[in-house]
Amino acid sequence: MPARSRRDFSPDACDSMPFNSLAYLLLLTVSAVSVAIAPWPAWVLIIASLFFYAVAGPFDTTVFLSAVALNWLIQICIPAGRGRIAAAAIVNIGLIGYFKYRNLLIGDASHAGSYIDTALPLGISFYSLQALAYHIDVSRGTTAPARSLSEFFLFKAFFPQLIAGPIVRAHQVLPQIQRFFNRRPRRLRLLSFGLGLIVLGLTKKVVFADSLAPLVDDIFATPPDSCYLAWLGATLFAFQIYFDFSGYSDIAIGSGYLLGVRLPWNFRTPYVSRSPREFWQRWHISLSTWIRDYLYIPLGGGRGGPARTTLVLLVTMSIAGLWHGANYTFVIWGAAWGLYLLAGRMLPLDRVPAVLMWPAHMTVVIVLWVFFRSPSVGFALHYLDTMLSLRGDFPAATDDAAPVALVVAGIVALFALHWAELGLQNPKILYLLRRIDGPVAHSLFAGTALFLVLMPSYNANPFIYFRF
Amino acid sequence: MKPLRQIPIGRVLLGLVLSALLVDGGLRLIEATPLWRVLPVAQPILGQPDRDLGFDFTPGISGVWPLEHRARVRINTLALRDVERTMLKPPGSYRIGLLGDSMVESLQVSYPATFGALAEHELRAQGYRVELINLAISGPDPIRQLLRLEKHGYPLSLDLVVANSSLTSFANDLLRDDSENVGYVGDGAGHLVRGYGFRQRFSQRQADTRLGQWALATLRKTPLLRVLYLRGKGSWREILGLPTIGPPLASARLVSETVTPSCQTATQVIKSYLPLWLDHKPAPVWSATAKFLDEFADSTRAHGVAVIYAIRDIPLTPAECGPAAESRAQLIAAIAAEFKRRDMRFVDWSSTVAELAGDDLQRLQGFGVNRGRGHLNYDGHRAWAAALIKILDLEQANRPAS
Repeated sequence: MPARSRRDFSPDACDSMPFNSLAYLLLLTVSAVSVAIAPWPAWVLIIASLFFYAVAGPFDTTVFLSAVALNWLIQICIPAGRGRIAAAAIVNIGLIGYFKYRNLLIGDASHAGSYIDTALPLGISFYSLQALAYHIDVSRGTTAPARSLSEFFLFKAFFPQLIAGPIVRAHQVLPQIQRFFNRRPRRLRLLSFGLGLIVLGLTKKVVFADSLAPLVDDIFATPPDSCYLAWLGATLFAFQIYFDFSGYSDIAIGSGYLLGVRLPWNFRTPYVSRSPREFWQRWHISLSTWIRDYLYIPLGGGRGGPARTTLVLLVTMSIAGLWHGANYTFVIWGAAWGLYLLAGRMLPLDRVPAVLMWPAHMTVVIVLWVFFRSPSVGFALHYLDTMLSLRGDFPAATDDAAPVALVVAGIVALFALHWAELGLQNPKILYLLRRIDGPVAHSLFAGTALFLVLMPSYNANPFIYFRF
Repeated sequence: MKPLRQIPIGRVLLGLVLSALLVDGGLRLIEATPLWRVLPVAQPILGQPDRDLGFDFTPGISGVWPLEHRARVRINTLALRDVERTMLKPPGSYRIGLLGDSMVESLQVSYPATFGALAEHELRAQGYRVELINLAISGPDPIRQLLRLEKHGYPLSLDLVVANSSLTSFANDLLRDDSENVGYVGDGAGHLVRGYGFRQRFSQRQADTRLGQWALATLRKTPLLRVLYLRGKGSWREILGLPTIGPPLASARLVSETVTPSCQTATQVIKSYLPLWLDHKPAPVWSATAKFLDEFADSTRAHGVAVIYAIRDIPLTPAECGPAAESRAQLIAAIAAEFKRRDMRFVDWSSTVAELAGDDLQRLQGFGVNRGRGHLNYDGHRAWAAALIKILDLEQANRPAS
């Protein structure tokens, strides 16, 4: 079995059905139509989800089905309470630990850039956290349990959110899933909203993330020798990963909407934030709330003294970092975020004028992304050294290189685009969609989505979070 | 669900047309602005079916070449990947035609960065009144070069042609394949003649019809249609957008590697080429090769054009590997003898470039994380330009310095 790491960026690193593929659009269309007309909508979704996951291959499917079966057994065999939570933790953290961190724990650094030499089952980090949260919530009595294996299966396997989130909670999705089994699926009120989200997500992925990927890969292939290139690479990666992951989330939420399931928001234009706390309220929201509810608060949160709070924050964020991958770079990335969050608490950052705070905050965010993208800690430190040393020249205007002014204009345009996206969260957009909702808008969105997935892709760029 | 007849087909179609216009407009905008350097572009269709060559460039067409590395490319009005040239040779000028496949065609970089343009610039800076005209077109079959020379090279009153082919092009028996362009086929009487089997292809049969010409013109001018057309040519997995099953790309490597073959491997590879050039086996493949060399020599001689034929991809031997070096010397001698017999000068291109740029020829190919494989990168073009200047040996050619 070949090594599969997100750092590979190779086609076999993602052998699932990508959201930006014609195959996915066809599956979604067939599923949405079937859910609307079939007498057993729940089974339509179960079959579609199984098919979606089966494309990843028998290994991934077997692990996933085993995880579902084990979690169901925990529910029916162990009474709700601490015992069940412990069993769920052992099974789910055990699964992630075995497949994702085994080699890190035994210190096998045989693969440059990654400790992973075990195939990582698709979406295991997401569905394991989801299952663990389910058992905790049921044991705490904050949510009702699934009534049957098929309900539980669909809750875990619902294909738009199966492999890269959002990490949904039982109280958010299970009641909606149960409506399918009661043959009363939620009515589709605003088709343009779901289709529009899919178009937005595809635009982020196909037009921006995949276009930035080769530039970022090129700069991060070897540590750059100029400060200019180092900053450029880190900044472009900040946007690549945002477009990639938030694009995926938009498509997932849009797809869920078309199928009658409202999934929670996962991103709210994080680069408009002005503090570390605000960033995590806007970035990968389902993960940050999971970490808060099931790790940070149970560990004591901000209830203890400063020393305890510091420790809890660092541990929590380091674990959040480690969740992203079996590499010390992720741990450092998480821990650094912990320190930054701590600084945000201790220093009066809210008194700093926004015009100063935003660029300072963005600088920290971009610098921290270097750890996330680097294949090793040594690489990251070397990269940061170049970034902060102000050495090296601007590239000479040879070899068809884009002029520096053009590059700067491009970066400014990316930030402008991000701020423009903030405007899409305005309720007026919803009113507009309601006003234009109709056959013309539907086919306009559907056609645009179709053309976007048919756009040429000259590099293999699977969704970055598909293998986390 | 609405019954089918209640679906407002007209409004649905209107929406689809609007979406097509939106995406097509977006692609045009990207191509017309500096965004072409980064954002998705539709690959241009630079050529068209041709009854004589199989495929030829369309004069005056331009676009952004997106594969491997992005570059704005333009085909001149003489159907060459070159700057505009006058048909009449300027007085006192020495005209050199560069023949070759996609390595010489060099769509991956802008024209001024190609080795031909670099060499021309350098030679002119040295005072030579030379023109280096790029006659190349992609496709590994060497006969394409002869056909291009006949159609586009001779009318330009060339003094010299420098052809560049890969050694594998001869070994792979491409010369007998007439399914895509002219190939040598038997005439039934034991002779090889030019075959035009490709003319039976659908695209060739439609090329001269009004409908075919309209379709091609529409395709050229409509980015979205080009995207759909090129996607439709892929396998079903590619059309559906499912990942290709196969080994990881070289791009997966974080650090570029230099592949140095072992002595045994190098010897085996070089020896595999020996039967064709030394023993003329397999006979059918050699017959086609000899026919091509004869036709190339006869044709250029008839037009008074000197020939330098450079063959690349002749594996370099690892240091201190006697058997490989011996086999390589045998191979070079055999190839050189075949060219010399026909009054053509043979150049061992791999060695020539290696002498100037070092033995790691792979670093001259590919861009970014794909460095090490693919077409020439900027370093590659610089190295090839230096090698070209070296082999041209213009002093001996007695060309006047201005």
